[in-house]
Amino acid sequence: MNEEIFNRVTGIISGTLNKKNLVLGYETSSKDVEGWDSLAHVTIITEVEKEFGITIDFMEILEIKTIGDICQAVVNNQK
Amino acid sequence: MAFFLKKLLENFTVYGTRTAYVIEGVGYTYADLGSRVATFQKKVFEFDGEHYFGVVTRNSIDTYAAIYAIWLSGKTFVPLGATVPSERILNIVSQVGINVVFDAGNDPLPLENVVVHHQQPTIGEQPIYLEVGEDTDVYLLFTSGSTGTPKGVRISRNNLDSYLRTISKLDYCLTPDDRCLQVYDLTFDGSVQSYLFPLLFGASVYTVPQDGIKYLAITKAIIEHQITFLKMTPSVLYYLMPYLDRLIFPSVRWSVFGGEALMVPLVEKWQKCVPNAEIQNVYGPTETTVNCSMYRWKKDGIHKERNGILSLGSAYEGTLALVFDGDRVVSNGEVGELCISGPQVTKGYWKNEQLNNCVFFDYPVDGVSYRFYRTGDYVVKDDEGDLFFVGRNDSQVQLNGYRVELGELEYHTSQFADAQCVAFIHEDVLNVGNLYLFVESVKFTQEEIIDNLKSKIPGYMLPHQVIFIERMPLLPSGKVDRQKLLSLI
Repeated sequence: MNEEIFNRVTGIISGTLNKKNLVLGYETSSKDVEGWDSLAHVTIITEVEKEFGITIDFMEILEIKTIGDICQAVVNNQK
Repeated sequence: MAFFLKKLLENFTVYGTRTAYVIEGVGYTYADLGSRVATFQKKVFEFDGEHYFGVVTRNSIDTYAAIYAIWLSGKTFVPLGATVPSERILNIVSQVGINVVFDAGNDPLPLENVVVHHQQPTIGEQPIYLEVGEDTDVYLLFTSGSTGTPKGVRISRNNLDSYLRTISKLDYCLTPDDRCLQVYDLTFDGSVQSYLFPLLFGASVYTVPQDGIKYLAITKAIIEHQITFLKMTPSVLYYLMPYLDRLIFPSVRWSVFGGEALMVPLVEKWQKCVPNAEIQNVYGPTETTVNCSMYRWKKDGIHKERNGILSLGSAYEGTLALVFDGDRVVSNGEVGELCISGPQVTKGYWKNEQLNNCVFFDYPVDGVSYRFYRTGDYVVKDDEGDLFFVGRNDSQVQLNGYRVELGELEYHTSQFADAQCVAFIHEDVLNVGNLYLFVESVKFTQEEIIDNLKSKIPGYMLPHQVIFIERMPLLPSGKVDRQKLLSLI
């Protein structure tokens, strides 16, 4: 999996949650991170779309559970 | 005779092979549910001297079966939130004197009372209906209390029966083919309508887990299960806002909103997502049994609103909604406090004579004296009887459908930090309310303040941000300058 995408995505997550030193992996989901609630989730997805200049299909958004899924969605939607 | 319980009992047999609940992908028939209820009922009978049974709120068929077993046995159910701090649970258990708790979880709460876990149901067994006085409590729901102690709202069999009879006469026309979503936490009375009402018609209830990203789980469930009856809080729409113009849910026939103010621009976008549905806005504090008024949204029509908030509609049949300024009923168009009377109004708070004396009063209408409940909601009523929310006179707010007393946050924090605290709710860019807590101290970190609160109050009440200041800005009167604080957010 593309490390660059992972780093940019985790950067957005840390920024949104306003937390440094978060331990984040491909398998990390919202349930594993304190503060990653519905509001944070909408913000993260929207920021990821902006960062990569993409629009993620809503049906894909529905299936996103882990950071790995977010990265995959980026890959799927990049031209 | 509680109509809803008789119907439920009948339906375990009449709709035996139909699906009653679908929970985490597993379907349970009416017959299966009936057997489970019968099995739990045996446990209820074992504790003959008990009247109030705790049920830990789990997303499990056994949780619903325990609730029905308690009701059919003429007893009262007290929901105990699965993720609520144990101090709060213990407070409720001790306030009520609960000795027996049903907990279907794999990781049961560490309570010292007798805990009934999963029971192996005996297939084919039927529960029985025990007749008790209609004034007997059917559930006792604890809501946020401004003094730091949760207050218990007592809802009787008659209260719930009146509510269910009233909405059964409306045009929902639910059939066994209907698929209804249950999104609410079981400590919230909105859930009672979602998990019980469909069963009176042989319909199926699909539950959504309380953990995880709820608005996505709800959306997924609507699509996956082709939901026909949808009741949820307006906050779900706020989260879906970036996607509303891409979404369409043709299966939905009824889209009902309740729990907090519903903004007209959101509904205008949402109506395109549910082209085959009638949209409704319902209102009602816990004290008036789930809901007591309703407004029907007219597609492409003119809507009744005030400050962008959709009308709360007019009172349900059998409920009286009057607007008071002190002792006087105001004229239509004038702002006043909404007071409710009728068979859906609670008999009062659990063991709280002082509060009951404040919020209930008698008032004559057409020569007959009625008992009214002061909702604390300030409204305006128009000539057609439709109500419009204006504001509240206290520090109670609705956050994602939950009632939150800002005073509770302030109380627990000021005790811990030995400092003055002021809590606010403030809308963000998505128009979602967030809680902010100001603390007049520089000795603590946000983490310490939140950790303390975590041990006292449910998660949904935790502040989004804690702001520390050396000195609270004051007005010339000596009161805290709230405007100044707001500007610091």
